[in-house]
Amino acid sequence: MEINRNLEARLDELNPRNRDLLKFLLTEIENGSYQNYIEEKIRTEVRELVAEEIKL
Amino acid sequence: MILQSIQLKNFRQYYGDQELTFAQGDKNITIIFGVNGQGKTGIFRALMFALYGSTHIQQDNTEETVHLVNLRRLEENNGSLVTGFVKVTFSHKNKKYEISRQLKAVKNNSKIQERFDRVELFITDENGNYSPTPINDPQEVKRIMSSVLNEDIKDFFLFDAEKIDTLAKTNSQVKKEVKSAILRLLQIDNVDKAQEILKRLYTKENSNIVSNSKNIDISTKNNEIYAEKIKRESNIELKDQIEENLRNCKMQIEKYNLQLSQNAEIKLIQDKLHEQENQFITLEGRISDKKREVYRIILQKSPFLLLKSSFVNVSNYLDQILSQQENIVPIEVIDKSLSTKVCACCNNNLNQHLDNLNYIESLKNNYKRSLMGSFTSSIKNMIIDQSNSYEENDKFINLLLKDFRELNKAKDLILTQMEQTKIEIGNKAKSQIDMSKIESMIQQSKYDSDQMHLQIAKLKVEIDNSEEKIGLLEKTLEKMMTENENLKYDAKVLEILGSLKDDLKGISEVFSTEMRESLKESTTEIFKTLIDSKDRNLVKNIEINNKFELEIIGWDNTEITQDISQGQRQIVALSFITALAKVAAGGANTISFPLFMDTPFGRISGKNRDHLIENIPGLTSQWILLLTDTELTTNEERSFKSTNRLGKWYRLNQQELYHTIIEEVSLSDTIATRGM
Repeated sequence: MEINRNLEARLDELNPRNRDLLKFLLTEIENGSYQNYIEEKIRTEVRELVAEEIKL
Repeated sequence: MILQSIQLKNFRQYYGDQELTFAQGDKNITIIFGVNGQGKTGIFRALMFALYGSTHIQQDNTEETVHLVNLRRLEENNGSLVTGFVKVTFSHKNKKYEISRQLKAVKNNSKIQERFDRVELFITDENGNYSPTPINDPQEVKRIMSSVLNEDIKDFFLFDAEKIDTLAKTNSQVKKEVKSAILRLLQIDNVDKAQEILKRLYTKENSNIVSNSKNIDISTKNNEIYAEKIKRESNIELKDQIEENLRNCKMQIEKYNLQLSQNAEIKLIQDKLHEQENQFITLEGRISDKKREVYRIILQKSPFLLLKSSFVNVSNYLDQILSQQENIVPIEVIDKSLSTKVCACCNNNLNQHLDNLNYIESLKNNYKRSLMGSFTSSIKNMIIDQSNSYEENDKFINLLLKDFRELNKAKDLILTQMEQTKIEIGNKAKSQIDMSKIESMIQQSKYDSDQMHLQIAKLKVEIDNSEEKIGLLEKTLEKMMTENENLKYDAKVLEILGSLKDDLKGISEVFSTEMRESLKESTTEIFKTLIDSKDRNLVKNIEINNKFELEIIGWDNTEITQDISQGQRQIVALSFITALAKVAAGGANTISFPLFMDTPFGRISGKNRDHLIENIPGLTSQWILLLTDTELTTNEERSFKSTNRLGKWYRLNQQELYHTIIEEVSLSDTIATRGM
């Protein structure tokens, strides 16, 4: 299932980085993914983002 | 989700292969009509079995076995395996799904053994790509089905009559179900889960960085954060505990108030008794007056009434006397005749006419009796008077006695009523304890409740302060880490996680309030559309309170959740379901799930049925109804046809026991069997 439209509208008000990360997090939860998996994915995503930022 | 078709094979009453397709699009109503026992609920069971593997529905006792494989087929194949099968096809978000489940059963003499055999799910994606291999891992199928229509909320869209009845109740179980449906369908629970994940991730990352940094300042700051967090958690725990106590305390106050209201009932009954006692006293007074009047009248009149027969004889006798006295000669004439010895009337010499002399002497003797003439006449007159008023007196005395009897009867009745009232008071009083004791307990509970409110408010402030302090400390820690070259990278990671956490927290608060508001408005609006116009103003609002419970507010702003009729509450339940799906779909005009209802009209009045028939097709993408003959009379048939939304029309035709055929009926035909 998709993220609730009203929730999505609220997320769209955030900065693009946080918006995408939170959308990803909420979609994974909605699709019933395991919490450990979600946690790991978020950690990896954030780390990759920081690595790129530092490189820049 | 759009249901397209269902196929059944040897499932419940459906012997052999049967199939039906569901209406969709503009003509989105499907009616499956069957009298009780012909297999309507069998279709509902088939749907729930195929989509979710459910062997029981709301109305079943889950501890008892429900046989799903057709019993006729099992009987015919005694000792051999029989396959029961259901396949449902549906589409959802441009994907097509084909889900089937199969059962195997065997009957040995009178014992039936049944087991689930397999599930198969085929999905055709939005581009028409079709996987030739079905998904048959039950867990994976469950996960996919939950992503289409979550199992926790399926009962709000696909429901039997029992469900709508249950939803219309207001007990704690229903409140819990309603709350979980709101949280689930509006994804508020996902936001909570996401917050937990981020919090945990942040804490883990933070601990890792601190332990890797080997920096005393950072460790100290981290310990400070940790200590504050412990303080916050313990305050949260304490607050939760007090809130729980507060709920119990409120329940206790309600219980005491109930006892008081029962005492108030006793008071009312006592007032009734006082009134009865007053009536009794008044009646006694009237009876006493009446008694005196009866005595007086009886003493006055009854002797004459009793002497009625004697009066006739006396009267005759008096008549005789009076007639004898009619010829009496005046005394002066008699005396003169006797003194002169010459009859004053005929001049006969009495010395010569001794007979005449004797006669006049006898007249003289009779003279005494003539003195009684006037007395006799007065007795005679009295007898005449009394005889003339005899009927009247008899009537009057009878009337008096009748009044007297009736007053006594009324007194006996009041006495009986007083006895009953005393028993009533006794019964009520048995379950009561001293009223003043209850009053003091209420006062105590209210005091406790006020104290708890204060404690909670104080704890909330402390928790907020802790949150703020933790936030500041974390920022300081992040800064310290950022300033530390070795920790720059990790600090940045932590900073992002922290900002995600903060953003989500902000969204969570606004989103939850926003959803409750939308749900409240939508439920009220739909209710006003669905309810009969005469009841439209009965309900002002349908509120969703901060505990996500339904509250029905009346026209005068009082809560009337418990006071409206069961039928009206069912309309509230239907309005809520529809509103929930609409809000979940982001305020779309129609809900994106079918409403599948098994015998829903049982308690709903004729006018409300007409309103539902007129309006539900416009609110949902599909409306599938399993209706019995009392729900689909010629009136409802006319209403359905006049909507111009009727797409499919089926009749369940029982050929023999456990052998029902699904017959499609032309939309121009008549199907209703009642109300002709």
